[in-house]
Amino acid sequence: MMFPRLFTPLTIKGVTIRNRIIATGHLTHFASTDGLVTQRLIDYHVARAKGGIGLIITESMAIHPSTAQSQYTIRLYDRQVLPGLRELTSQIKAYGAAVFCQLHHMGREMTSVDTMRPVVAPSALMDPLKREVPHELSKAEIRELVEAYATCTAHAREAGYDGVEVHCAHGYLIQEFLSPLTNHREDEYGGSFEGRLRFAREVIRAVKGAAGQMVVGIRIDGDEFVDGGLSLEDVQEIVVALVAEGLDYVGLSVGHDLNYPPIFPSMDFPLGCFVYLASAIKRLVDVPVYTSHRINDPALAERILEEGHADLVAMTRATLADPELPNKAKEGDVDGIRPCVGCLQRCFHRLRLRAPISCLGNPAVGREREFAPLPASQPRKVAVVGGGPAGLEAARVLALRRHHVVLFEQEEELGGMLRLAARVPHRDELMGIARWQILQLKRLGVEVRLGQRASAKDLAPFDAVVLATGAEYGPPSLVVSEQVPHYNTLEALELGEAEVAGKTILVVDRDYHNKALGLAERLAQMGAQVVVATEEAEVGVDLDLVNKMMIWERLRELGVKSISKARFEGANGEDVLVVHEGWERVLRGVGAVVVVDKPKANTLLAREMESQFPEKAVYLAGNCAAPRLTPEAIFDGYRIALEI
Amino acid sequence: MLAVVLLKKAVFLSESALRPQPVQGLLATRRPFIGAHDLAALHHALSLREQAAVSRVAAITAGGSEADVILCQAYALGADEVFRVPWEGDAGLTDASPVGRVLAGVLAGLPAGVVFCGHLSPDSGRGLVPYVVAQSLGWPLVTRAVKVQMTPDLPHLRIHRDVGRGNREVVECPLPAVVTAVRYPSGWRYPKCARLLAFRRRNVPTLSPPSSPGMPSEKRWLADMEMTRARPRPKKIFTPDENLSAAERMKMIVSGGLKAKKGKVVDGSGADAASKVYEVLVECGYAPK
Repeated sequence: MMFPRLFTPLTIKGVTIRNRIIATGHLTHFASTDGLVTQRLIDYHVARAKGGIGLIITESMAIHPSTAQSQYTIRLYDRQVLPGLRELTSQIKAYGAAVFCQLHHMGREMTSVDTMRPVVAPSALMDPLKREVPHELSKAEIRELVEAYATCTAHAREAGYDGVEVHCAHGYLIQEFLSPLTNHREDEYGGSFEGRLRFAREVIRAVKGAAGQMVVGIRIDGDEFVDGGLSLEDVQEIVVALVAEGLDYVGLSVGHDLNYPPIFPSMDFPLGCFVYLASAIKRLVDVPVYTSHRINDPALAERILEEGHADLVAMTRATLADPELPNKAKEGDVDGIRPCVGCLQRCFHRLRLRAPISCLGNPAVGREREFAPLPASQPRKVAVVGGGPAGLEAARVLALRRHHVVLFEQEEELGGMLRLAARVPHRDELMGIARWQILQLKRLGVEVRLGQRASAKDLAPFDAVVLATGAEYGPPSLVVSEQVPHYNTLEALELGEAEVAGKTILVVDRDYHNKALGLAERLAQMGAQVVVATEEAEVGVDLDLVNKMMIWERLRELGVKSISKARFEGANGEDVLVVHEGWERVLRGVGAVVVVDKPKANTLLAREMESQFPEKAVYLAGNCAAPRLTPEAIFDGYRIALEI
Repeated sequence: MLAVVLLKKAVFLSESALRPQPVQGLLATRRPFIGAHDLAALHHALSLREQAAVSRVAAITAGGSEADVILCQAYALGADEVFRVPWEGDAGLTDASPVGRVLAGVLAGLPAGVVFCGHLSPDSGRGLVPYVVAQSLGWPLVTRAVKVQMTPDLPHLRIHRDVGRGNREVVECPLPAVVTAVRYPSGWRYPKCARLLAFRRRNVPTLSPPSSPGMPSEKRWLADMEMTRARPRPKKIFTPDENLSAAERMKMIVSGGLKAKKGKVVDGSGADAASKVYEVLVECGYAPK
């Protein structure tokens, strides 16, 4: 076996976990707005259980009416959820996975939009991201919450869970009590270390009292990464004290609203970068410890176990990208595992948009029933034009469905826009998606014709045609100064160090995603003085929060400046007049302007087909249908491949 | 039931446990102390009392009146009774076997259910006494105990043994038995000042062995319960310095982690990239020149 440690079962208090791969509790937005379990949620978890995962910790569930992560949060305090949860747990267990329930209270890290009640916290200190001043909990309210934890534990037991996990991480209520940053109480629930620990202790005692034979564990941040907050040493002390209360396992995590990016580490974070937190705890306790965050590869997981840093490895996003990861790893089919590249575009970002989660590489997430690639009843001869993410995905799924597929790509290499996207600093992992798709095409025996620009005539013999011809960047949509050279996105990517070093370059963001910021970083790394400007409220306004925070961290070090709500009012040679909210600013010595526009759909071949073969079944996928982002392109390819 | 702890009066530490060094000059200046293994033995006896598995804990040592300081420490740490067995010789260094037989004789006259000893003494490092005691009494001997619990079906002890390299063996032992302890468990017991003062107000009773101790009539056997493999000790892993600011710690993590992102990056496409990759492979020694 390629990964012997990963597939060694582990028994925790009588519950045997068949392997060391687990999925941590994560919100999916698949529950109903009444907080009830839906078939979609069951299908989602069942797909992972079928895929061979050892343990599923279902999403964080509200223990009290004063908390809701969103309108899709399961209300564990309400007995109405029990029939649905019973169905969920029994179906997960039917496929051999263990299932734990996560008990959760958001504390101040929420808005009152969904509960219409005051946000509560140990102290009336405003959360920096949610910006609501919470109500300071009274002692009676604290007692009520402790009882709520016990009641919900009993509900979890009734629903057939194997264990419960008390959420003490991510800056939620229990961590707010633990941390001196958020607990300014002067009664017995605050002040000293023992005082701040009191609420967690009472909760764990109450949960243990109600749990019976169920496993009881916690998830806790290993380091708050905020000066004056809990450090690793503090957390070690806390964990030892809580384990003495009878915990059966400890899960390590990181990140909260005062230090947001690590909660959902993007591809800016190295793989396994927070394993050391679990390692530091594992040295101290006798109960199993799990680690998480950017562990996307069974080889890395095996190494973590081999080196003794943890007993279980959370591969949550990795199993989102490929639910079959455990089965494939067990069989040694490493090349078959669709990678999680940490892009955050359809998991984290869609949560922020209050939409159900999905995955850039795996459009079937949350659509397990309707997106099951069943064999075609009548295999057809299908041409796919374009070797970008949409075309590759369409060809892959078509071949999977036993159609005869020929892929045309005018370039000598496959990958399309992903190849360009991966050239921006810290985005190289994006190419992992295309690399996996290309490998699958080889395995499925898809005929790939590289360097061949398909014409309508070439496509005539096929039963159906999928056009994924992408989009193109035209001339810059804006001229700031006639005397200064202007470049579009593609041209800017080709600029060399000799052309940019020492120059002041104005990057105008009209794409509103990561491209302007990525180009700014690339140019600044080559020695340019970069100013990024946008007409919008901020540069990269549509980019997810984590990626935006991380890239700005680096841009600040590179001295990149930004101007939001910018209007270009005129120029005198290399001096550009910019108006920002009524203030006038002259950018002097601008040596070049990069205008990052949205690309234009390449519909040349589509129109040609329409005129020459109007009866032919032609489908448009990805940017050639409408210029969008990679996840939408892959989704198009998958969807269309199912329609043919 | 009485738990007895046999304590060795140690006066110096040898550089090598097997080859005691001639440090007679130091003997006059060094105070006697209880060795680490003996402390572990005392801890196990006291923890059994805390589990209500035994009613009293008695500490016994062999030697002259100078050994009372050892008993004083044991009393301050929580022993209920202390006894000294008069012994004129060099208890432990050369007389392990006769001392063991004398102690066995004393134990035969006590209602002892379990006898704890340190696995090795810090001076001679031989650890013969418990073997002699067990052999003389015909009791089972369980060595290298790290955790001792009373089973619900009395009178058996469930003992976790350290069998090396972090592996643990669990055995169930019928009572009475002799148990040797190897190390002090986590947590620490501190001597109580009040008991130190109380010890000064009392005389240490002495016990003399009967002239001909009776030999046991029946043999008792250990039962193997389970064997647990050692948990792998975490290897060293990059951990940011706690003294750094939060921002600096985070910066270190982003630039490192378990699998650092730094490495050779080959830029180019097609045949150009392939030749560059080949050069890197040659440079790293993965491909022939």
